[in-house]
Amino acid sequence: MNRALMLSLWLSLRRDWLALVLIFVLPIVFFSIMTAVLEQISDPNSMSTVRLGVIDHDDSAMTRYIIRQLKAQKDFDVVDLSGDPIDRKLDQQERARLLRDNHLTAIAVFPQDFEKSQSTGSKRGRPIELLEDRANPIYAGILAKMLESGLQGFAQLALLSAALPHLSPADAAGPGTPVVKVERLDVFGEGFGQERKISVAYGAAGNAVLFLLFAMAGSGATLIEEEERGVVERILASGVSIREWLLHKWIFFTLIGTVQVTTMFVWGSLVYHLELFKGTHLWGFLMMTLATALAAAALGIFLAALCRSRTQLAGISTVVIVIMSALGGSMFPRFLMSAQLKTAGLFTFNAWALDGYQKVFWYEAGLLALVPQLAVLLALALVFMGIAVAVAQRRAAH
Amino acid sequence: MGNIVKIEGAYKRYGQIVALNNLCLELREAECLALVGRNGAGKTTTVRAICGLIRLDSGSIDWHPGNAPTTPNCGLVPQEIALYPLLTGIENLKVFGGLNSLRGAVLSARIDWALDWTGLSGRANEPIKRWSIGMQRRLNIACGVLHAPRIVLLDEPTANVDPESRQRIWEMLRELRDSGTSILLTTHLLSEAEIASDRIAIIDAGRVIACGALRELVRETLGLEHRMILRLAAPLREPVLDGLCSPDGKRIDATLHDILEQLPEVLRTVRRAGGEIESLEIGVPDLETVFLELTKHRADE
Repeated sequence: MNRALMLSLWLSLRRDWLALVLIFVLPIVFFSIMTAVLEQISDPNSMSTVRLGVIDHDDSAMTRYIIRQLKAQKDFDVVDLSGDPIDRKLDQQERARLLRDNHLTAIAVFPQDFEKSQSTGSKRGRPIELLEDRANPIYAGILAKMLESGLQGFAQLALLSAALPHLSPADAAGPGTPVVKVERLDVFGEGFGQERKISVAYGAAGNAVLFLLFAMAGSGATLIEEEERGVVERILASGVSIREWLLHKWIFFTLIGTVQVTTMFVWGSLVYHLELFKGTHLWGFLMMTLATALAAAALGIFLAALCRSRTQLAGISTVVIVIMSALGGSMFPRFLMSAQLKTAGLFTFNAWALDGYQKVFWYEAGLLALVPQLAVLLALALVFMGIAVAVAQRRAAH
Repeated sequence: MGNIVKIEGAYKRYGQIVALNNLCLELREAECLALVGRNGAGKTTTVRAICGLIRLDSGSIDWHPGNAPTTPNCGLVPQEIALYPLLTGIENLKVFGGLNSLRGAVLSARIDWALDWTGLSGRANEPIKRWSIGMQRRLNIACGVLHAPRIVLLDEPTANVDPESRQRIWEMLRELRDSGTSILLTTHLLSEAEIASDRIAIIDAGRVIACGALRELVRETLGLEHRMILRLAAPLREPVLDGLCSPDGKRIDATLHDILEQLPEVLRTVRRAGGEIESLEIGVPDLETVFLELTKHRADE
C-alpha cells in the first residue's frame, strides 16, 4: 500500500468539503427521491396500464359483462385468452407459460358455473382465480387490490343490472358482504412479507446499484483530470507504475462507494424500516455491497481509461449506465421484461447485483447462495480493471 | 565537467509522426542546458525519454554513473502545474516527497528547505488554488526537486508567469545549478534560454542541429558578424551601404562581416555625405537570429 497515493486522495477529498458532505447527503437524497417515486408507482391511482389476461371458462352473461367492464377501464390492457383451448385446470407450468409468453402481469380465470354459483349466494360462490407473479411484488400487490375491488364491483353491478334478468337483486349479498371472491395464486412460488417492505427493499437495491454507477463514473473523471494536469506524468516519473496508480484509485473508489451504499441502506433502515440488521442480512448486504462497489469502481476506471476527455466520459458513461441499468433491472424490474431482455440483462452487472440483494432481503437466502453473484461481480471487476490497465499503459507509451 | 547523461541516436515515432530523429545530446554535471525549438520539435519527447516515461524505438540514453533513470537520479517538472489544487503547499510537498520515497524527518527537512528556497513559507498552509500562477509554478518546481535528484528536467518552467516571477524562477534554478544539480530545461522563449542557461541546444524536427554556449553558436552559425544600428539626425545626401536605410533615411541597419574593416568605412562615408550621427549601436547577434538562421528552411516549408 502506497501511503502517499492514499494521502493525496484522502486530502483532496477532505479539502473539498462539499464533496465530502455530498458523500453522505447524496445517498440520502437519492434514496428518498427514488423511494418516493416507487411509492408513487405503487399507488393504484397513479398506476399505468396493466396487461391482464382473462380466461372465461363460464362464458356466461355475467362473466362477459365483467370482462366488458374490465376492458372499458383505462387501467387495464385486457388480453382475452379464452380462445386458448383451456377447459381444464391449468397446471403450474402452463400458468407460468401463459404469463411469460403473453407478457402479462396476471391472469383472471373465471371458473365454470361462476354465474350460477353467484346466484346461490356469496358464501358458496365460486371464486375468480387471479394467477399472479409475486416475484413482481409491487405490481402483484397493487393489481390484486385493484382487481379484487373492481371485480366485486362489476359483479355486483351485473347482478343488479337488467342485463341479467334471471338473477334477482335479492340474490346479491347485503351491504358489506362480498359478492364474488378473488383467490390469489402465486404462479412462481410464495410471496414475501408486507408490500411496503418489499418495495423499499427492491428500491434500495436498484437505487444503490444505479447510484454507484453514476458515482463511480464521476470518480473516474478524476483520472482524466489528473492526466490533463500532468499529475500522472509526475507520479509515473517518481517510479510508481500505472498499474499501481490505478490499483490505488480502485481501492479508494471502492471504499467510498461502500460507505455511500451503506449510508443509503442505514438511512433506509432508520427511516423506511428496511430490515438491514435482521438475521444474515447485514453480512449478505456487506458482501454484496463490497463486490458491487468493486465492480462499479472498476467500470468507472475502465470508462475513464477509454475516454480522452471528461466530456467524452460524461457522454459515454451516461449512455453505458442508462443502458446497463435499464437492462439490468436498476430502472425497471427485470420481471417485467421479456425473456430476451432478461437474458441480455445478465451481461450487465446490475442484474447480478440486484439478484444478490434480492436473495439477501427478499428470499432470506444464506450467504452461500450469494456465491454466483459475488463470483460474477468480482470477475467483471477484474476484467474491467485488466482492460483499463492495459489501455492506460498503451496510452502512456505513446 | 563530465557528462551525466548522454543520448545517442534517439529515434521515436508516434504513428506517422517522427518525434525524435537520430537525436544526440549530452548533459553535463552541474550545468543548465536549455533545449529550444519550435512547438513539436521534440523537446517534450526528449524530456520524457530521459526520465523513462517513454521507450525509444532505437538509440540509447546512458547515465554516468549507472544506467537507469531511477527516482533519486531524476526529477521531472512537467509543463502543466502538476499539483493538487485543493491541497496546501505543504500537503502537495508531502505527497510528492512521499512518492519519491522521502519519509519522516528527512521529508520535513526537505519541505522546510523547499519552502525557503521558493519563498513560499508564508502561504504554505493555504490551498494552492488560491495562489498566483507564479507561486504555483515555483511549487511545481519544488515538488520536482524535493528528493534532491542529480538531474532536474523542466518542461517550459516559466510558462504563463509574469516577469517578476520568471526572474525569481531563474534565480532558483541558478541556485540549484550552483549546488551541483544538472538542469535540462525546455523553452521556446529564446531570451530565457540566453539568460538562464550555460549551453543551448537547438532542436529541430527531432534532432539537435546546434549545441553550445551562445557565443559559440553565434560564431558557428553566423561567423564573426556584428550588427550595427546607426541613427542620424537627418537623411544623407548619398546612400550608404545599399538598401539598409530606413524609409525616412535616418536609420541604417547593417550586418558587418568584418567590423574592423567595415565600421571605419561606414563612418567615413557618413562624414563625407555630411551626416550627423545621433547614436551608434554595435552588437553580436542574439539567439533569435541564430535560431532563425538555423531553422529558416523549416519556416520556408
